[in-house]
Amino acid sequence: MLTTPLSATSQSVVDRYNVTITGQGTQPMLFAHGFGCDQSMWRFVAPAFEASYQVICFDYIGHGRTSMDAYNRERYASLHGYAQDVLDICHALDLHDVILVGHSVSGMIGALAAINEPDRFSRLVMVSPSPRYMNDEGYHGGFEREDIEELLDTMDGNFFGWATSTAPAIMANSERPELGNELGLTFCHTDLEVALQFAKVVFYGDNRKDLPKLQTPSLIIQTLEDIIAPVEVGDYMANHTPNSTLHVIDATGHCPHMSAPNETIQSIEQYLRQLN
Amino acid sequence: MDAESRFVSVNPFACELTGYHADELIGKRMDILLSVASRIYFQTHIYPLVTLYNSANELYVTIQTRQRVPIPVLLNAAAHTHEGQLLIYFTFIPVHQRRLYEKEILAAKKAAEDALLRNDELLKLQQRLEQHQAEQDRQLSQLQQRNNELEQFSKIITHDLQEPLRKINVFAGLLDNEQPDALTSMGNTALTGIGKASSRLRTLIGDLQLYFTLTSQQAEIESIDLQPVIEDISQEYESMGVHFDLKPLPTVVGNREGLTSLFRHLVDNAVKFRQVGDTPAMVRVSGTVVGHNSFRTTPDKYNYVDYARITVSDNGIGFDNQQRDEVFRILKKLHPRTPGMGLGLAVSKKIVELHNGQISAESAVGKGTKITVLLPIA
Repeated sequence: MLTTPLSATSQSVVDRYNVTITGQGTQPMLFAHGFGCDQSMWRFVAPAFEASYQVICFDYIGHGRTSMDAYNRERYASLHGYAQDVLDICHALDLHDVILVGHSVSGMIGALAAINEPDRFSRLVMVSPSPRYMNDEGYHGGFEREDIEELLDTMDGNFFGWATSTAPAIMANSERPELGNELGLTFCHTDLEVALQFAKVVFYGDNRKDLPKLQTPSLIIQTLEDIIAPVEVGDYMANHTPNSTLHVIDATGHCPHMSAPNETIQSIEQYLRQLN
Repeated sequence: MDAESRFVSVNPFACELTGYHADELIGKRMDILLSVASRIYFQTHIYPLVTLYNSANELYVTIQTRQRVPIPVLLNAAAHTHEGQLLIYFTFIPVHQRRLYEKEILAAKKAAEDALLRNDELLKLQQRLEQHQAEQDRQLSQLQQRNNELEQFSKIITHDLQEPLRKINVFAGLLDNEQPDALTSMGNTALTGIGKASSRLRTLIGDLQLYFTLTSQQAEIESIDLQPVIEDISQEYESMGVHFDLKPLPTVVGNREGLTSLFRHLVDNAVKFRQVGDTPAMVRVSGTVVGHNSFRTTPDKYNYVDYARITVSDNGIGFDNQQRDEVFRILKKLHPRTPGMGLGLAVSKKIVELHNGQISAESAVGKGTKITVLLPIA
């Protein structure tokens, strides 16, 4: 937990990225959400680390409850802009020895941040990452350009869908009472303009050349069946990233931290134990 | 569907629409009925939404029949727990007609938004341009003023300061040529002092002159492989018992003389501020290519391009990290007893800035210093 009050600049960064800090440990564990959702997607995994770590979650600009005022089209025309978000948070909170956990594209965003400031990060955990989503000569990413164009179309057609998913959550779920208490929270809210630009940067992007530059020890969590980051992509990541460990977990889909939180938690815990 | 997005039950309408038998679908993942793009949308948005929120409403996706015919549908989803098992109910209706209308409306909306955005951006640009013009004019006048001062200063250094110094040397020489016993022992000590002081003054003037004339030189720019540059420098210092750990370095664009001088200054500093005692001086040089914002001072301007990032780190005496910015100031000496005039890092910074690069320092007392340089690459 933070014991000293934050400076004005730090507070502005905390507000800008809707940073939430929990946990009893001292070593920071920073959770970065992927494309299409917000920090709420970590709710099944992050609490498991609160006993031993300082658990920090945040939303990228235009996601969750962040204000759009800080959105800058030039900055976010590149994944480096998002990596700068991660670094800005680390600077503002004066985080060191950080374990960065990133889902989906935040795996690569985390890698870029760690390449830029290697001294700040001790471990990188990438959940279902991919360095390139489109197929290329001798490389299977899973998608063709037309697929991505159709995705942008689908998102455009879902303007109301993306916008209305901010509606207050009114839930009557006896199995998960903890969800019911969060009336007024937004779920997977993404501003459409932000989501469209993010999708273009993510899905048209190519970060394969960055993998060999990553020196921070990393864990790649791969599921058995993932159309967005297929098993071949996990292998490619592991083969091209120095100091990386590939862990294929017994789960399917692109969101193991939601569909198989226990397996995901175990995988991360086991990895952190091994290295310590 | 179950929690893993596999079909548990499918109604006859869905089978008829998609051309599958129910038993062909049961046990399969949802993806089989979705277009590729809708699979991404499902995995990144709909699945998290239903898992966190237990429902998703009015989402437009494209399903795909057995014959791979795309059908636009509106999808609703609700999650319920039935006899201890989580079941997600997906319902959808085809919206061919509605989708056509929507597409037209969207196209019109997009055109209007684009025009607005362009207009908005143009207005902003125009505003910014006007601000910049005023700002630039102000800066230009200031720069001219500074330039004039610098030219005068340079003249003062080269002539006006050198001349009295030369005279001091001449007079000291005259005294020196006197009979050995012409001066008292105090006189002789003073004479040696004058010699040392004037020699230091000469070095200082030379360094200052170098520092202030760095800008005005029309430097020749070329592609430079930094590897041999650093190797040459390290060889000079290896004979002094300094150990080097050199990693492969990227090729940069710049002025050979300037960059050689830059890295000589950095290595020289690393050696100069070595630990006293048994620990041999160790200098590590490594490099990589990183994406970095090319705007250095304008706020809220971003253009990420690739830079070579070179780090020169040592195991020397280090300094208080709070002074990491001050070490680049001209004539700023943190360690008064070490040799040199406190110009090394100021000159280094100037060379880097002339290359449109960036330089920063990080240090810990007793552990060493790391200098990081960003330079444009080929």
